Amino acid sequence: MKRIVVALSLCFCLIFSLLLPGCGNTLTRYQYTYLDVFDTATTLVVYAPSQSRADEWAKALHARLSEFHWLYTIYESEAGLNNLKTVNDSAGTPVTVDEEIVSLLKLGKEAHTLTGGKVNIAMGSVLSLWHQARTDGIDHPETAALPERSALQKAKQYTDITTLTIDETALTVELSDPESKLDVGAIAKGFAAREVAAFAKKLGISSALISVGGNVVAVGGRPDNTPFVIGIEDPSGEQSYLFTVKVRDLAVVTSGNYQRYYTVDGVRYHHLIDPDTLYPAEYMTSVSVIGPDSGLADALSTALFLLPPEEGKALIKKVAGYEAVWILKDGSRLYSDNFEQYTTS
Amino acid sequence: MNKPRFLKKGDVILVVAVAVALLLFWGVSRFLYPPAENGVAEITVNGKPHGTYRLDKEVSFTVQDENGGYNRVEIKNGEVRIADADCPDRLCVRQGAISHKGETIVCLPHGLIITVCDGANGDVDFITG
Repeated sequence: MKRIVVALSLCFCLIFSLLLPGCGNTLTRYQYTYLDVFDTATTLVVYAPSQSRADEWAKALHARLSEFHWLYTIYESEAGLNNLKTVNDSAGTPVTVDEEIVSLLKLGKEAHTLTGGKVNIAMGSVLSLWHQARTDGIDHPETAALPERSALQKAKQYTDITTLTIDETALTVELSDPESKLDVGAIAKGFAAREVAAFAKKLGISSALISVGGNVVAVGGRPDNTPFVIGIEDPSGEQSYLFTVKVRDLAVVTSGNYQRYYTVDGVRYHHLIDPDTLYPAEYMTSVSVIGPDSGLADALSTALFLLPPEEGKALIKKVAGYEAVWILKDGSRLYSDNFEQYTTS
Repeated sequence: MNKPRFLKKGDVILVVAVAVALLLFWGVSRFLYPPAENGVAEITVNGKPHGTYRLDKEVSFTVQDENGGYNRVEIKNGEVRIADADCPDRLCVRQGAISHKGETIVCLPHGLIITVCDGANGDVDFITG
């Protein structure tokens, strides 16, 4: 009797070893895509022990992202609640805001200094003209037009970042010039992705990818302890990706001329506007930045897109821990000095 | 007297026979039902599932959104693409074909998402740009 039991258990062992190859790995990949935050596509990849746990985690991360979206939007408002639209609409009076707004605006000021003004969260007056022209142009291609040059020049007068005052202790912010407007598009997605990645770790998630628009943050590495492999999209759409980078607990942020654009008289105009020329920068197709803080990486990728590659190389060299790869219009690539550590092909 | 043995010869034969039978069964089932090499495309519109399509079958069809907008989806050679669409920016068409597990095509104006599930992941965890 005992022998039969032993023999049968051995059989069961064999059956299970055949049915469950690689059963030592108990985390499964789950992927979610949302279209309702930051006016872009957000994808969450989480490795979880079960579908229900993954759903629960994704729901929590998405809820956190929605909070950031609402705090940072300059297009939506709700009575009695303060967000960046409130700050824009209340120029001249201090507005009490959440800590998340104070931290983001502080990053905006730091990024302005670091990038010599190429990242300017106080150029909402200029960007709103481009936003309006682009939206109209996309909806009515036959009448698509550029913003008036004179209107852009006039708006430029109200892009002084020193008109933004942040009181960290009182948690208030104020735009002193009623014509000034904030637009945090260059940093908000990266900053939110960073915060949501930290929140993911708090939830106990050990392996995940958080992608908000062109901002990807790796939470840990793959469940098998190897780094995540991230493909950088081929701007031409011919291949799915051009090359890959290996990252663990790092952000990969891309700014490209193909992410958001419209066409006027057969010419494409994208959304990355140089604060000095007031027109889209045309030095390259895209630039990707890798580094530990996706908020700063977001700011840097915007700045690098607006600078000639040689000047960009000098900038990225100054920022320890950040590397960049430029994809030029002829398809060739440029790398910052220590980018190699991330490339796999 | 022999030492008491854990398993007798007959038991070993039984275990080996079961193992061989299982291996045979597994081999035959793999042959009859090979795992999808190309994976499937899962399509959702405004968060609602629209359908799941095998990438190894050539097919072309149109997905309508609630406001009468359309995306023409084309599956061919193990890849899925949006061949045509009447969304204003047509970024979904520009993106071209996808085939790796986890890749997505998104049409923001129509709320349409195509995600490749199963199949080979091509050693890449995520594609960004």
